[in-house]
Amino acid sequence: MLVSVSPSEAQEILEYWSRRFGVPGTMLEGLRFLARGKTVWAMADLAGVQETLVSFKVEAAGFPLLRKRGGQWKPTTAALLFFEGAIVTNVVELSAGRLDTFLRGEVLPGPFAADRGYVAVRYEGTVLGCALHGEAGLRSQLPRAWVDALLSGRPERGEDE
Amino acid sequence: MRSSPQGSDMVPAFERYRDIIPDFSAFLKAVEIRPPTHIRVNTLRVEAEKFRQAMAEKGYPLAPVAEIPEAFRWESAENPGSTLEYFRGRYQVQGLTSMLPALILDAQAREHLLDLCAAPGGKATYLAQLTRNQALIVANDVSHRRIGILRSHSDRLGITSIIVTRYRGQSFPMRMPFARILLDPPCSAEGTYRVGARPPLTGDPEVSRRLQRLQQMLVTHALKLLRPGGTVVYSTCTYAPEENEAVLHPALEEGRAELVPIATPFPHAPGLESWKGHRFHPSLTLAARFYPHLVNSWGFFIARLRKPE
Repeated sequence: MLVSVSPSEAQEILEYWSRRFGVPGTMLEGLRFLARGKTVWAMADLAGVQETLVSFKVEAAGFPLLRKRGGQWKPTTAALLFFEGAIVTNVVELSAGRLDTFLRGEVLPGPFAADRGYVAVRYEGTVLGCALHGEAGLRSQLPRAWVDALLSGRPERGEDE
Repeated sequence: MRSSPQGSDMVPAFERYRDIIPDFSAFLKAVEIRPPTHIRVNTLRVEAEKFRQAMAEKGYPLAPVAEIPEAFRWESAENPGSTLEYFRGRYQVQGLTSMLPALILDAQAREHLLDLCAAPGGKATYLAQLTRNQALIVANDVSHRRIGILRSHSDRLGITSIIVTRYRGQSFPMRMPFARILLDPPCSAEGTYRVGARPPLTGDPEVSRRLQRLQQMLVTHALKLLRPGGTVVYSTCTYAPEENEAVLHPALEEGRAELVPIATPFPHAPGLESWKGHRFHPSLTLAARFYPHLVNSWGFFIARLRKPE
């Protein structure tokens, strides 16, 4: 069951986005944070959300914001796209020649001007999604299905329905 | 694997509609032409005209659709799913007529909405866009796999107002009333049979009759889930009267719902009053039948129903 996070957890989430990516708390206003397992979701804080959550077996709400990995927060690509223009720190700009390698999931050797850990990757000045900046370099954390759709040119089945 | 249909292969299957589709020869010509691809700009992320200009600069020309500001015809030879802008959730690939049910539902901010057969999510995410993420939308579907696709689209588009559930539509729990419901049930999808698009029709009316039973159960249940005075938009991408007028007829005849006129700038034919000896509720002429020779997209049937107070 998806449940609202505690006020202290909500504060922790706000501080993470501010500290790691420079996203101001105002960008997360109007969102309610819900958790199940290791995933935190961001849902519009609309009237009736709580009633809906307790009335039905809910598969998902809003978009996935963060996941807990080894005690650390991992931002989702969906969240980085949502906040795109507000992300100012721990951003790696990909050059045109490295995009395909990155999308194929190969490690891009550094150095990169970003802290170790999860970073936002930008291409042509716009956020593309999440990557892991480790000792070996930069590795894509983009959703596999999205990348497959991009490389194949076929949107996931659902167009024109 | 069956090959894609080639023009005249489809004629026998559509022949039974000769008397109900206006300008039938123009219809047959239209289904022999590959339909254009349309996209819907995600105005939660980007303003439509700015997006059009930016895409033109990147070499992806888009032709405006006058009737829907956020809709464009995809003019590039490249597949619309192959761009970084698609990946970034700036647009959704969606048939032009497939956009109409969400528009016709006319949902408002702060309302509680239900999309009963929502996956893969084109209409539900459009509802979220139209209401600026300010209406609570329960997007339900029975298929785990298709829900995965719905969630993927919703995440990519930055939708914050959708709650996803997985129930059989005809037994969705009656725990809260909804102001508006979108019901786009499984159908024979005849409207998507255009050259190069889908395999040809089976021509077997039993397929439609089996689907009809499910569709009627879904309509009955949707009306129960609706608050008095609320709205259901029923849509299919099929021409089969068995899955359209015949599905809605009992609810109208028994007074469980009344049909409301549809406001749409797109040319269409009225719903049918009769079909092969069956008479339908006269108000069904307020429903709309969209044909590919009238609107160059998929064939669609759309009806707007109101639950009496």
